[in-house]
Amino acid sequence: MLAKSGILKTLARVACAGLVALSALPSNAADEKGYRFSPVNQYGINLTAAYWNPIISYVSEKSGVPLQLKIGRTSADTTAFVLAQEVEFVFTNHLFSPEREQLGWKVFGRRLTPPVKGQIVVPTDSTVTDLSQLSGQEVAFAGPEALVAYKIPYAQLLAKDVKAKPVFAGNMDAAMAQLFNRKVAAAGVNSQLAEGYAKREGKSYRVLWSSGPLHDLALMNASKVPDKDVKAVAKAFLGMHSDPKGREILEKASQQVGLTAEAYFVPSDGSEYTAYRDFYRTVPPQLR
Amino acid sequence: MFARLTFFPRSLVGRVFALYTVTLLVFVGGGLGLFYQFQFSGEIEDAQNRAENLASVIVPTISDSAVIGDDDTIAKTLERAISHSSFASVAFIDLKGRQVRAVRTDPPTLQAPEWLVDEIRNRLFDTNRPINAGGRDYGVLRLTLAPELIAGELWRPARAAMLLGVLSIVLGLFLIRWPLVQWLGQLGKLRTLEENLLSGEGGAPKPLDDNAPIELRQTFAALNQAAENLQAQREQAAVTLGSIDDAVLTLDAHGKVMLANPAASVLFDTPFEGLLEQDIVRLLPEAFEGQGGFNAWRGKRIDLVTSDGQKHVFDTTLSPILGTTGEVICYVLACRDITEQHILDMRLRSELATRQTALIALRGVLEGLTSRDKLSRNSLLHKRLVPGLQMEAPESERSDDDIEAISLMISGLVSSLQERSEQLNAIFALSPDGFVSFDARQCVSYVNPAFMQLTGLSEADVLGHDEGTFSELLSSRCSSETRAHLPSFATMRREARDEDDGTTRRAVIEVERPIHRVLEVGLRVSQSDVISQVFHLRDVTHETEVDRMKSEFLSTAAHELRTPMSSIFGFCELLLVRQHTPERQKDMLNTIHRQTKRMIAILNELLDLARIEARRGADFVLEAADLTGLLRDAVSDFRPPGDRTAPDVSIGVAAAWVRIDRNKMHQALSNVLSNAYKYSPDGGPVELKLLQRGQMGTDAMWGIEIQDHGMGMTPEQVARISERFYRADASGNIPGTGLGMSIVKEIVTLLGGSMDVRSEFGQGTCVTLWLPVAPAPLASSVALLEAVAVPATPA
Repeated sequence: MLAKSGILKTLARVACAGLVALSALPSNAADEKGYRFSPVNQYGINLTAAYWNPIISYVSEKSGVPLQLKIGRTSADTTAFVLAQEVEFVFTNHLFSPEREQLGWKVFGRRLTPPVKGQIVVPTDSTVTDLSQLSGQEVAFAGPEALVAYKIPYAQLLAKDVKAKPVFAGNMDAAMAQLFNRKVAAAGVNSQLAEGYAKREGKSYRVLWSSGPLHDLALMNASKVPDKDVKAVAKAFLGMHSDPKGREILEKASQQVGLTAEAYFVPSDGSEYTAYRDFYRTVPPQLR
Repeated sequence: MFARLTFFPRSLVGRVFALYTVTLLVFVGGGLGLFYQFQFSGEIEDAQNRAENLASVIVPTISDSAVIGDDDTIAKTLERAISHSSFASVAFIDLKGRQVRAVRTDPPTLQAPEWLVDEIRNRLFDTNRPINAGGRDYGVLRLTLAPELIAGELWRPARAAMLLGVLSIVLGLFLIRWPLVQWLGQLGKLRTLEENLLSGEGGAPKPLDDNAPIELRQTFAALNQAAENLQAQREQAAVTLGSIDDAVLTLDAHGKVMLANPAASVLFDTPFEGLLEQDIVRLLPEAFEGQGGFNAWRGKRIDLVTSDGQKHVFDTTLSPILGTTGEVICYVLACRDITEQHILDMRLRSELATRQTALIALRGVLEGLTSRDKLSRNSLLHKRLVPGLQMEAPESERSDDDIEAISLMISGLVSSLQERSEQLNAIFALSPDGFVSFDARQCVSYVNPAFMQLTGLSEADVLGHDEGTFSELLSSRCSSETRAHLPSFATMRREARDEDDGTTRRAVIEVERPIHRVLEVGLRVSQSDVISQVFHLRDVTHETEVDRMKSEFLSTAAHELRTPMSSIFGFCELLLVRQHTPERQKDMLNTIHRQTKRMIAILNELLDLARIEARRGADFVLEAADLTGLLRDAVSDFRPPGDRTAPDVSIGVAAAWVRIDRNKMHQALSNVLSNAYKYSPDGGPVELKLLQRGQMGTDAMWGIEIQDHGMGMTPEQVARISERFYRADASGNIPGTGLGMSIVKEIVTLLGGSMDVRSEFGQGTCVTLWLPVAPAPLASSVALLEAVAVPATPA
């Protein structure tokens, strides 16, 4: 009986091995001491983990402040982690609404990349050429918390009185996959993420509408984190591109998600995100 | 590779069964794995979707309750949501960290293995939804799935599937085992076949039943056929061995007899059973004399005295039979009685020795023949003519084989004789003289082609005839006047014997057929035993004709000279014996002078002709000359007789180059012009033209045509115009020596040309002298070109 049980167990393990190998999940950080760092899941769990894991390892080692990566299944999870006070550091742009700025989170850096834009895109061969054609059509978005990829483009649809049906795919890559699988007529995207996806997957798309330029996401810390730890973490992030080892890690990580090699972290006090704050002042209530 | 796998089944059934087992396990296991993977992924995804859907359903209620601070409603909502679901807990966490939480406490209906629970736990995520109202965050709704419940739901079908898989494998193995043993197990029947073959019974195994696989049945059918063929061959071999006269014994590796055919029993005068296990060395010691062991041999002859007391000769062969590894398994000893053949061999050797002696003797004779002077001379001549040809092999290369040497010598002799025969045949065939040889019986044995040509007699006419008949045949061909001149053979033999050189007196006969010929006959007597005499004929027609012409010429010349000489002699006698008046004396002296002048002219022309004939043009001074100038000079120098006008000259070309002796050509032209005037005593113009015929560069000729309108000649006269002293004027009124045209013809002929005479009696004669065209000299060509170019120059 014991032998039989062992064989069955082995068979089941063999069957699951492939799935386990495919899911390079982050380690269970909750059980370990240190701060939790939660970036918005922009590329899907695996790719997001592949981008952030080496960076977080480097920052932890360089700063001496242990950081644990905590990735949510959707972009909304990071906001949820913030609201539930389960993370101390985040990489997000979801916290610039007037209400959330009162949560006490501070910007200490941002990722230096070409400006991002909120866009509404369709496949190159799509028959849709105008936003008005999306009325009654399904439009994919990363998630209800995504500012650049959802709120800004959807606000444009509302402004144009285009009654499209939003479909939340969970993250940007999933939304793009739905677009190119013809499950939706268009997608609201972050231009940087859409370009990275198109480059990686060999797809091409056409932009129906594009917002003004915006800064990439911000590195933020909770107010409860001591200053010395914030400074140590910030110094490690911001000096990463100056350190050969850090630069190599950055370049490799950026290459995986389709960013340019020059994408690195620069200091910020949050003042560059005025455009985000302005948006919240004019956005329709249902998007706040 | 399989050889290294010690646990790998050895039998075909075992291997096929093992292969089937492995294949079944792989496919069933793979199928289960794929099925479970699909179930696993699907269940995880479904669970996440359920969480999303549930969150969407309860978020509005939770939001409303959070806004008004109704924790009871939140708690009840959460309790209802978690009931009968796969969630472990559902919680609302406000911004201060306070939680309203519903936890499921009932245990799962089926406890899944811990590893499966861990795997599912690692795959599941909490579902978080910010609770936001009017742009304000109130907290987070978090749904946490229960991995134990999901694992239990997954484990239930997986367990059933695995049980079903195991049952399938066990049943499948059982089902394959039986037919494998039934079908492939029949290969064991091959062992029966081998045993039958070894025992010599030849019985093939029973054929497989109809249920056996086609391949096995075909294999067994082929093996049965091979076994039957082998058995048939074995029986054929036994019959063959029993029927042949050669004794054949099969020996084991130690020389003990294992098998023997009936001939062996007869040879050793022992029954078959008595030969078995006998030592062959003891049975046949003569064959193994001087041998330490059993070394194979072939064709060894031994003498044996058989049981009947007679001596027999046997040809024996011992052949080893090797096993697969090369070791000797047994031997086969074959003994053939070759007594009669041996006797024949001895007789043949004796005859060969005798023949060899004869050949040596023959060789000596032939060597003596080939060393004779005649053959050696021929061989030497042949070697000179054909360098490198070896008539006889040198001593160092001479073969020891007498037959070959004799053949070479005979070949050389035949070759030499053939060569000599061909030489003689060629000589006799090509000889212009006729030869007739007579054999020892003095009958005609050979005539050569010249004889047949000279006499018109064929080979069949004369061959085999004796002297008398031959003389009659030859006499019948002679003219009646000379028939009597043909001497008899007896006369010719007598004259031949009388002469020192063996030749006969010259006798000449004339034959009329096939054409008139003058033949000189003779006979030579031979000392040979084969040829008694040779009669020969020589055509002397031409010599006889020349002799006649010389006589005629002397007679004519003497006659021509005697006429003026008689006149001179008569007038001189008159002047001596009688006194004449001065006028008469002067008249007589003039006559003497004229006749003397005529004699001198005849003698000069005779001398000219004789010189031209004797020198054949060797004294000619040949040069390129322009005929136009020569013709003008000749006409200018020529004085027509009396008051006759000069020749009418018609040249028509600027230059006509020929290669001639100017003086001789001038002489020839003068002779022809002189004749033209002399033979037209009644006057009439004499015309001279320059003609051309043929193509330039090949056979082009210049012709000088002189035409008179005189008395002309008959064809007979024209034919004789170039004869010496022949004159067309029989009256004697026209002066001349009769030598002029002979000289003209000789000159023109020696210059490479010809003379053409056309004449019509009473109308006149036209003589044309043709001369080959010669290339113009370079200087003359340039001058001619300049002359042509001058008129073109403007004045």
